[in-house]
Amino acid sequence: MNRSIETFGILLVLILAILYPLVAGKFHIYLLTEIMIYSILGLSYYLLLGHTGLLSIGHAVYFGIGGYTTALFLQRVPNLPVSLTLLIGAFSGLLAGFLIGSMVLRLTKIYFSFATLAFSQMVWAIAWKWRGLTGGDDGLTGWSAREFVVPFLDRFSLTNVTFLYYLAFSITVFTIVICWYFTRTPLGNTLSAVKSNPNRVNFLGINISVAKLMLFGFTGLIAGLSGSLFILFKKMVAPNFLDMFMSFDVVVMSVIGGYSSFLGPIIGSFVYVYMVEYLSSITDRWQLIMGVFFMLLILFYPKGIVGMFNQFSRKLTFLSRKNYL
Amino acid sequence: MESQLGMMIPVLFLHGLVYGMLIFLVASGLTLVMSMMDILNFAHASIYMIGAFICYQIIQWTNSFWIALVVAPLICGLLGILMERGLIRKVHASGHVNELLLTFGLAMVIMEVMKWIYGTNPLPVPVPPQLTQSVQLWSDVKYPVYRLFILVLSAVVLAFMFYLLKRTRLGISIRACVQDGEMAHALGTNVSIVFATVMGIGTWLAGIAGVIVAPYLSVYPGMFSDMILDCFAVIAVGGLGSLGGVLVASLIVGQVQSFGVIYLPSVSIILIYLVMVLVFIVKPRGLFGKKE
Repeated sequence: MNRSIETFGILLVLILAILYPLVAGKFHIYLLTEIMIYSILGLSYYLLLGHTGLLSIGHAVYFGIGGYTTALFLQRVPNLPVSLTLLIGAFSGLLAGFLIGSMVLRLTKIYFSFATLAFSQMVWAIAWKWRGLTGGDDGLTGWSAREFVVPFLDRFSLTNVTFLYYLAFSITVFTIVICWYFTRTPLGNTLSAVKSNPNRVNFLGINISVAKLMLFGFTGLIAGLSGSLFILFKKMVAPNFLDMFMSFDVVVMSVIGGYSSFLGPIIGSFVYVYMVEYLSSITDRWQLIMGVFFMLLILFYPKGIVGMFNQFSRKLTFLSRKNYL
Repeated sequence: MESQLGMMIPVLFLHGLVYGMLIFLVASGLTLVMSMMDILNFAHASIYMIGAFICYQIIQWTNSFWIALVVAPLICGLLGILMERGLIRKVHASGHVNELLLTFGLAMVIMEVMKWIYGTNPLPVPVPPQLTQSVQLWSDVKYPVYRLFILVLSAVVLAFMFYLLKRTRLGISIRACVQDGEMAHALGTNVSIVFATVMGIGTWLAGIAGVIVAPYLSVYPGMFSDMILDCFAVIAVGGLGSLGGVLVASLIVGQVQSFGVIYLPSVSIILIYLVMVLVFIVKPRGLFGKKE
């Protein structure tokens, strides 16, 4: 695609996103905030699956750990600034990424997927059973009265939907830039080489395990950040933020958008959230419809919406070259 | 109190044995399918759930547990073969990511369909009238016959499985495919038919487990996630592709479950995952896993 068209498109989306809360109702601002938080999570997942080819099926664990850590700090340390708890949440995701990564990365293929699920289930079991720390089934709440202090500006209540929208927006833009940059660093290049031919990368004298471990830490950081943001947004945290089904929601979003492209998870989370919203408003059986839709997508369009678009545009360029258009 | 607890130990041990054998019935089929086709088949536990629901339905219609015990597993086996032929095979070429995602999507759809038809409340299934009594095991300890029946039936199935794998021509083919599918194919084994057969046998076993579990734990859509997690724990501990490993691991998990619930109720679930993670750290491929 043309470079200037790309730049124009990005600027247009940014301006629209900034102006959106001025025209939209509260409900749509709320939905879009959720979409942006899911996009961050989806991006961290893209780095694992799309960029490096590691099929993790317990990705919600970093999301949940980030969320729980932030929630605990918000609850137990009353004087800590909210912005700092976000950082602590992200950092806990980083630690979890390193810890889990160091154990599961010895395995390959299906064994690897299996191990990621096992670890996420263990953390889920802890979150569910350790009532003293995590509140068990009820989860944790009680920070909706907290205020987020933005230096040089003002203090905002966490119940302020528009503020949360702009907070999520700035963090999302920041994350997208960082992740894009990450895929362009030597480490990022190494990882995408690992996806196409791990043996060759190994023969070139590059230590694959260290590179993958770095990646695990990084995706943990990003996913932890999105989890922390999510609990500020939802004003609660519960074990179902990190269970098997949450992990699969991440996968579903990535697949809808196209899991092997950078834009995939962002588009995917947009479509997913609006689809769930629409379907659940018209029928009780929306989960069934989503499931069937997901299966059809895997069967016929495994590359998702981005893949469909690429196919379509390739056809167009083909036709235009032949002077049919 | 102390003596009562002492009395309970054999009973708890039996409970653990029964539960372990149930997990084994489901996990043994799953581990064969997984190690042969290199896919994580989430829909396997859905077939177990379907087996339980079909059992409920057949008992509603015919009032006979025994018809259900024969018919439901057969339907499950057919569904398994259909699933392999109609769905999993379609995406086999596009890689194991898509296969895994497809089976997960399928599991979700099956769960939603079951919720739609039968609702989310647990449905009670009566214990067959021939097996409602309890037997006196020791002086004071009584044990329900039905659980002993589960134990005997699963032991029979277990013996049948080992006979099939170790003593028959089909068993040799299956073991060859588990070890090295391409090589078996090159030597003239029809791998595609072996795949379908193993899928059929595996889901048939899951169906049996589903039917016999129905009177014991009742029937509800959440059975799927309960069982799939136990199965995964068992396979992770026992090692992929090893039936003996899965048997040992099922018995361990069954005992951990049954004693953990009584003695350490708050951490019983964590205990199972802890065992699993420990095995991962010490022997990443499981206790009896095959080497690469």
